[in-house]
Amino acid sequence: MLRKLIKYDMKSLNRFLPVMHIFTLFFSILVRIFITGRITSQTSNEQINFFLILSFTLYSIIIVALSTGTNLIAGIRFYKNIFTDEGYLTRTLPVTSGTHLLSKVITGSCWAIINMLSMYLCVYIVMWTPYIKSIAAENRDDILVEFGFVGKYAHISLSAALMILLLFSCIGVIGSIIMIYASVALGQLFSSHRVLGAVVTYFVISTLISILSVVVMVIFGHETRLFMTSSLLESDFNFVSYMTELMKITVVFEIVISAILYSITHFIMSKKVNLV
Amino acid sequence: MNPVLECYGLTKSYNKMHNALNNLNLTLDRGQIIGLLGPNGSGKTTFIKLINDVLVPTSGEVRINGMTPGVETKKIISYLPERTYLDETMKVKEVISYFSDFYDNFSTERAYQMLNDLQISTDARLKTLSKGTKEKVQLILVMSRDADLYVLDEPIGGVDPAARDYILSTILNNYNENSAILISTHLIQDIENILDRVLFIKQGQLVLNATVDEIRTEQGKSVDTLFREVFRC
Repeated sequence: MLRKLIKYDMKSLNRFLPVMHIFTLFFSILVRIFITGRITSQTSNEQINFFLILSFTLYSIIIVALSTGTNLIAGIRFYKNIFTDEGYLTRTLPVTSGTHLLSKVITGSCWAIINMLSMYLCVYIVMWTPYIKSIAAENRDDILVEFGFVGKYAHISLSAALMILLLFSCIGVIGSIIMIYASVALGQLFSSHRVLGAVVTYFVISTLISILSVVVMVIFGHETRLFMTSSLLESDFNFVSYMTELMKITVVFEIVISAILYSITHFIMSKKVNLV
Repeated sequence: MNPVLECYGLTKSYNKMHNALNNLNLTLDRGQIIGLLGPNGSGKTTFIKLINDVLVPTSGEVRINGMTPGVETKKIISYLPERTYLDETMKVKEVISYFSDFYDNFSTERAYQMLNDLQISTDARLKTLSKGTKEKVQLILVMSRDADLYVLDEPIGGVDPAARDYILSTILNNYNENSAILISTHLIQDIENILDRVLFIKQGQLVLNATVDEIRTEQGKSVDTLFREVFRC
């Protein structure tokens, strides 16, 4: 049954998301051709600043819109399919609530990961111009040292670093999908204005997670770096080392929070749903 | 043969002030078409939703074929809600394969036959169909299953009289001694002739559970006349 659910859930997401992503890629190619691709060593500093600011602004808008749009559509499909009129069919299929939730998390996460990969591809298209590539190649050693790829981190290959970054990002985007579903499910506990309830719940959960993550950082002794005090600027600060430590804690934190939110969503879907 | 539906002290309240369904006790046997009748807000739809596991009871329990609502009961109940519950962007034929994918007892052949009889195109998208045609499609989907219990919430409210006759004959054709059909409706006159038993429900409580023959012979009235007397405003 899970396979069949995934098939139909994927089909319903596929109605909107490919168009959005293809449009964004197309837009990124235009930015590359008409803005960032035109920056060369002959371009004056003022022009470079202007082009960079413009391309960064454009790119930020794309990324925010695309990521928000992807998560929003996954959330809306979850809400409509389980908690509105469509729920009268979905919830009377001979399938457990757990299977429904798993299917929604798998399909939502697939699209969140596709979205993340598209984002990286957009960055690559927009920023990785021949000119920037040549500058990076010229200053490769300095850049590596500046980022902290020294000592025990000196031999990390680019592919290994990228894999770690990808894995970390995947856990992050799956976590954000689960958080959206949990907000929608918790919103159903309100007696009226359930959509508004879901939105408010989303912001409450986000705030609580931020506070909790600060507490976790304090517990693990990363609070000074977190608040960017002057110690950051000292010469012994190593970006790679700091990020590695931070990732380890964040991954565990993210997995624990996601597991809790998943269980809450499952409980509400199995025991508390009242379609009205 | 075990009863198809049992309720014990079934109660549902949406708020602390008022019980939509209040301590309902009931046993329904197979092999009958049962009319669930009552005025607006009497608790008919609440009762139907509890049978179908889209509402959680406040107290008491409902059993279908001896089981509490869950995956196993959903396999044997065919439910028609009183609203459009299909993804309207789907085509009729896509909805047919959706049902056939999820319900082992769904007959694709029967569904196509009925769609053909009512001249509904299988290539049409649901959102392009009229409200009445959508209702017909939903009823066809529900009646194309070989279920133990059919639960139809206002099945003929939005369709024209000609289609209504076809639908009623479809319901009769699907009826067999192993299954039961529970129909909630206001249009008593239209369906009175096919009913074996009626349940009158008032303010969340069962006020009458009798066969149509008992009403006619013992009280000398039609179900419609009795309904108007019991629920006079």
